[in-house]
Amino acid sequence: MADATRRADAKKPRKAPGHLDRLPSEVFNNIARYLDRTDYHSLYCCSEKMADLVKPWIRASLSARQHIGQTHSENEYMHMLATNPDTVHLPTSLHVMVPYIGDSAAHKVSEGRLSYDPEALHQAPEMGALRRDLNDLVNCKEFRFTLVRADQNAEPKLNNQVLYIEDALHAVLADSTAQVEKLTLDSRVVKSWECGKSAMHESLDKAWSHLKSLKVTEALSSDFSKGTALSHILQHAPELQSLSLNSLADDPKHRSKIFSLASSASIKTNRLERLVLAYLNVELEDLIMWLTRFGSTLRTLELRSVRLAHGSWVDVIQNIQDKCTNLQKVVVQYPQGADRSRGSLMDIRCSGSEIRSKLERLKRSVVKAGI
Amino acid sequence: MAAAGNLLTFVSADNVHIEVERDVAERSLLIKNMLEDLGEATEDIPIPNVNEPVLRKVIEWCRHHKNDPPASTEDEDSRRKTTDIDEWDQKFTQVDQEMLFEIILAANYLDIKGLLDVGCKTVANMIKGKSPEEIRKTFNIQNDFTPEEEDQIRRENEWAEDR
Repeated sequence: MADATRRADAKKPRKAPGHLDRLPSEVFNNIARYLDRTDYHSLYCCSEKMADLVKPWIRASLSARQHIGQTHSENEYMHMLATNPDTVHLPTSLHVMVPYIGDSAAHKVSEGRLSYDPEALHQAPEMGALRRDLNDLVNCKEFRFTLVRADQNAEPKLNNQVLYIEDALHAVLADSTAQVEKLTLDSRVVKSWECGKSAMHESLDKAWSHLKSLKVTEALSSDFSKGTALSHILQHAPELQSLSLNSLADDPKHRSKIFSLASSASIKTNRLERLVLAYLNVELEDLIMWLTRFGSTLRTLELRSVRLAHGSWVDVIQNIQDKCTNLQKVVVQYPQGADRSRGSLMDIRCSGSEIRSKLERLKRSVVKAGI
Repeated sequence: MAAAGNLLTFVSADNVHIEVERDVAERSLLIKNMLEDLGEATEDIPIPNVNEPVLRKVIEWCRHHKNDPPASTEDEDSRRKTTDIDEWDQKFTQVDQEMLFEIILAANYLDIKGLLDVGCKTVANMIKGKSPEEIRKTFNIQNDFTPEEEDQIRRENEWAEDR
C-alpha cells in the first residue's frame, strides 16, 4: 500500500513552484492591466508579496470616479473602500447613476395604478450602508447625480428606480456628514409623461453648507426647471462660488427655464466667482440681477448660446462693463443662438486687459446685428 | 557555429545551438536592434537567460508571427481592453505553468511585445474571477499572512469572497 502511494506520488505532475508572486514588477504590471479591481483585491488577499505587487493597481483604480447605483458590486466596492484603512482616504468623487422608473411606470403612478414612494430608495438597505460609508470616506467631496434611462424591458423595481433626481439626492446624502463641495446634477432622461412636481427633502437642508461648485444639465423634459432641487440648493449653499446652468436642448421652442428658476430663488451665497450659462432662455432683468448682485465677486462669466427673451445684448454688455469690475475671463458665444451670417465678431473669448476692448467690439457687433 | 547567409545561430543558456532565420529572429526587438548595431552577425548570438526548450518555443511563436504587422498605438489600446487570444496562440500557450512563465520572462527579456502580451493575457485569464484561495492554488502561492492579518483582510474584503 505504501509503495503504491509512493508510485502514485511519483506519477503526479510536479507542482509548479510559485511564479506569479516572483515576477518582475514590469511583467506583473503587464498582466495586471488586463484585470479589474475585483481581481486586484483577490490578489491583494493572496500573500504579502502579491499585496505589494498589486497595491499600485488598486490605488490607480481608485483614481477613476466611483460609480454606484447600478450594480450591487459597485456598492460593495464602496463599502470595501470605506472600511479599509489603506483606502478610506482615496476616493475623492462619486458618480451616482440613478435609473428613471420609465414613462410607462410614471404614467401608471400618475393614474394611481402604481404606487411610488419618494422614500423607497432612501430606505433601501444598500443606500443606508452607502450613507454610512460616505461618512467615513473623508475626502469624497465631489458628487455627480445622473438620472438615466432604465432598461425598458425590465420590470419596474421602484425600490431602486426613481421618478425624480431629488429622491436620489435624498437617498445618498440625507443626514450624511459627507462634505459636498462640488455637485453636478445631470438628467439624461426625456420624460414624455408629466407626473406632478418633485419636492426636495428637508433632510438635505444642511447638505449644501460646504458646496462651492454647482453644475446643472437638464434634458429636453426640463426636469430641473419643474423641480425644486436647484432652488433648494441655492437657498442652502452659502459658500457657492461657481454656478453652471446648461441645457442639452438646442431647440429654441424647448429651451430650459432653469435660469429663471435660479433667479427667483432665495440665493444664499454672496461670493459667486464663476457664472456659466449655456443654451438657455434668459430674461434681461434676471441676468442684470446676477451681474449687479455679484458684480464685485465675479471673476469668470460665460454666456454660450444664450437667448434673451426680451431686451438687447447692448444692455447686457453695458452691464457687464459697468458692474463686473473684477472679471478676469469673459466668453460670449453665439448670442441669440448660432447664426453664421453674423460672423465671428459675435463670439469673444478674452481675459485680463483685453476684456474691455473685446467687449467694446462685441457691443458694436450686436448693434450692427440688431440683437 | 557562425551565422550563414540569412540564418543566425542562437546559443541558449544550456549551450544548445539553434539556427533561426533572420526575419524570425527580428521579431525580438533586442535582437533586431543588436543586428542593426552590429551590421552583419558573424558570431553566434548568446541568449544567456533562456534555456533550449523555452528558446525553441519562443522561436516557434516568432516563426508563426513573422509576417505580423508591427504593433501600432491603436493595437496597444485594443490590447488593453481585451483578453481575447487567437486560436493558434491559445494552443501555443497550452503548456505547463512553469513553461508559460519562462516564455513570458523570455519574451520580456528579448523584447517581443506580441508574445509578452499573449503570455500575460493567458495568466490574466487564469486569475480573472477567482477567489484569493483559488488563485493561491492555481499559482502555488504560499499564504504568508498571519492568521490575524488574514482575518483582518477577510473582514475588510468580505464582499470579494462572497461572489
